[in-house]
Amino acid sequence: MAELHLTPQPIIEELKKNGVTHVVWLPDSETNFLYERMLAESSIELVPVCREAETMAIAAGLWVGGKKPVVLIQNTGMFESGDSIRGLGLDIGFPMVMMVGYRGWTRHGVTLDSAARFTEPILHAWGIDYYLVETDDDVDRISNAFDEAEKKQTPVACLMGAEYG
Amino acid sequence: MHRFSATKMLLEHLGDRPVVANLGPSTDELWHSGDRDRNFYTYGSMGLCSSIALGMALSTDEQVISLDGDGSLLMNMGTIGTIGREVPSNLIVVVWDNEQWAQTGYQASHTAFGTDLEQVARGCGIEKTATVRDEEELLSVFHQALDEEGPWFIVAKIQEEEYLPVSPVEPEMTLYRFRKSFGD
Ligand SMILES: Cc1ncc(C[n+]2csc(CCOP(=O)(O)OP(=O)(O)O)c2C)c(N)n1
Ligand SMILES: [Mg+2]
Repeated sequence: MAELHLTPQPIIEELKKNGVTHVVWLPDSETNFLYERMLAESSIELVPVCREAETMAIAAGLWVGGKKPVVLIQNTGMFESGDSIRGLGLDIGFPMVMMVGYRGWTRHGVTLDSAARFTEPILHAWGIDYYLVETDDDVDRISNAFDEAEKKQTPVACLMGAEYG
Repeated sequence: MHRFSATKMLLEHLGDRPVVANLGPSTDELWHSGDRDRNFYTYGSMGLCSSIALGMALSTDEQVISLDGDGSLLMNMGTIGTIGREVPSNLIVVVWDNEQWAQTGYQASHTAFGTDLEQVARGCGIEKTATVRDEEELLSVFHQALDEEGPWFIVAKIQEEEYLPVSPVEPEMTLYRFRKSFGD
């Protein structure tokens, strides 16, 4: 299998291109590679939280105040956030882009980690569309997610399916 | 103070009592310190280590020990309130506070910016609390916790070190073994 590379700078550029002001975040191994770069990026503010369900609420508040936040969490954290996604994403028609670390995603069909197995079915159940971002070639899908969220006025997810290589 | 060395020290003193460990290095280092029937390793359920231990404490007269983490307790600070409300006299919570989410890349957590989990516990009505910074202090408070009714909430400030290999544990087997150790 060809090695997959996802590097931080193209992702940050994509966020900047879309006018992102805040990344509301709880760490995970899949997206840790973005952390140092985000800290260094002066145009984007990082808001670390205690539990993922806070991210949607803080992001909704930022959006109400005219900012453009994204949420950056792990799929486990998306499960943890069920009611926030329902109430503060779907119900209020918040065009929120959620970047979700795809823990357990193996790409070869045998997926042992239930965190990965439940991710897409749960997004389907919520009617939340998603884009898979595994390599630098895929990062423009983040812009697709922003476009779709804006057009449909609803949350859209990007599943970040690779650890930094 | 380092978690691995401190974990080994606590294991030497806690006898046969059940222990629940936070996901990540707390669990791995507990396994490396000495695998035992009465170790409950967690591999997820972030924030729920002390909640699991609380449930156990409410179900037995034995003293139950939770080895939790700062990031996980921050995720579910409400569990401290529940402990304060239930007041289980047989629960001892030790928080390995490295002021980081270490497992995911050593990012600084809120306890590096002034959140004081001992004060949170006190604010939730837990009276037996301490913050310790070396093994000697930890052992002394831990002995007191074993001797005096709790609940106890001990914040152990630690420095992070290299991870040990992930413990090769089969969750189903461990759970079976652990439950069996409580008798039928
Ligand atoms: C709901 C959820 N969100 C995020 C994660 C990713 N994660 C795994 S361990 C961890 C850090 C735990 O921090 P702490 O309790 O302080 O333990 P330490 O790693 O510092 O020992 C995180 C964020 C997870 N497993 N579950
Ligand atoms: Mg920690």
